Amino acid sequence: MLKKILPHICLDMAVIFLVLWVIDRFNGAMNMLGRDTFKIPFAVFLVLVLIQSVVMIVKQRRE
Amino acid sequence: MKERQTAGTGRKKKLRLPVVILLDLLCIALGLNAFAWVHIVRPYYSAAKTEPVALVLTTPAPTAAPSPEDTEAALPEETEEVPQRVYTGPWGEKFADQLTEGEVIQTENSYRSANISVTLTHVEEQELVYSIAEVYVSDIRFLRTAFGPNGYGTNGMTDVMAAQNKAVAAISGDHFHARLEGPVIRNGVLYRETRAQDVCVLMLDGRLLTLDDSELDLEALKEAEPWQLWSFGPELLEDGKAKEKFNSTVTRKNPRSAIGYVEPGHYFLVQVDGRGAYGSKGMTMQELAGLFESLGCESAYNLDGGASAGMAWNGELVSFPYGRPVSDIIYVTDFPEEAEG
Repeated sequence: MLKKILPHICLDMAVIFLVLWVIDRFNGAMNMLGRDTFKIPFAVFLVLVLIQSVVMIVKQRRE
Repeated sequence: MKERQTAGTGRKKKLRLPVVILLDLLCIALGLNAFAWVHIVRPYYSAAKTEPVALVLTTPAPTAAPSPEDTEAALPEETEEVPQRVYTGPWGEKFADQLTEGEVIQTENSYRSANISVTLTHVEEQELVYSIAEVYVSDIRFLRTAFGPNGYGTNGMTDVMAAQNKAVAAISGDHFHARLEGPVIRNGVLYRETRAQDVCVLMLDGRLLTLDDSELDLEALKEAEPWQLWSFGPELLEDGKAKEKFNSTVTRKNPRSAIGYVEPGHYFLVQVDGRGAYGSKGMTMQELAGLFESLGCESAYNLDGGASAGMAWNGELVSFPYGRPVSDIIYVTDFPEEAEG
């Protein structure tokens, strides 16, 4: 179950962060990426991407 | 989650791709909305509850000020001199050649009294239109800021706020309410203490300081009688010279609103049209900095531009575009004792 959801969570979070990055590029005063509460979800995203990468690599080696 | 059991067979049937994409888009929308709630909506309402703190406790208003009726009578279509009051501010003697001895002298693009002298210059060049208000005041209290029509945290149009506050000249300010970060001090009252990047402080002694975040000591500043503090930026000059790099991502041609400082009591308010309005494309940050350097300013600071940028003269708009109500204006008035802000 988790293996199937994980890629979607990573995908969704990546799109969300990309949208925030674009907003920041157009209007730096919004300071979306500089906010403290941005950093925790971003750290969670990095951990999830790490897990997903490990899962994919293990899966590839088994095939 | 993306699969479901097919009845009776025990086999899993995958969800169709459009359904999966739809679910992902829904999750993205929920995520962005959650971010907006946490970062913008919730702090917006909690920040509005902050109690203002007076930092400048001694604010003697000029005495023997004329009534608005007197001034209306003294503001005919062409120049006319009417005997008026005299108020000697700390810089009244220094700017004696700019100020009058008591009468109000007003023309289509200038206003002079014993306390203020404002000259409006409208410049039209190829693909560029901008206005400059050169300001002399005998006392810093004639250079003021005002909030929207219903006070702190409300927005209004620049010309409406200018008229409400009997402003001779006014420009849009930093539009602080559009952001949660950045300290806010207006007319000697502290409204918000959150930190930001470049800030601009107008001290009660008339100096205009531009500081980046590392240079800003809010606690020390609160003791030093700051009269105004804006948080937008970036700072445009360094030791009177135009900077080449700016702490901003919006450096391309745009409508601009900015304030410059020559010496205590002598300032420039600049508003630049842009985005095609009346053929004006606006100014880059570098061009704006160059303008203030050419005006002989020691320091200058960029305020909220784009659709926020506006300038009013005698309560009437002299700029385009004019699209957005803003949180605040910077204005020059002959009647500080009647100011609302």
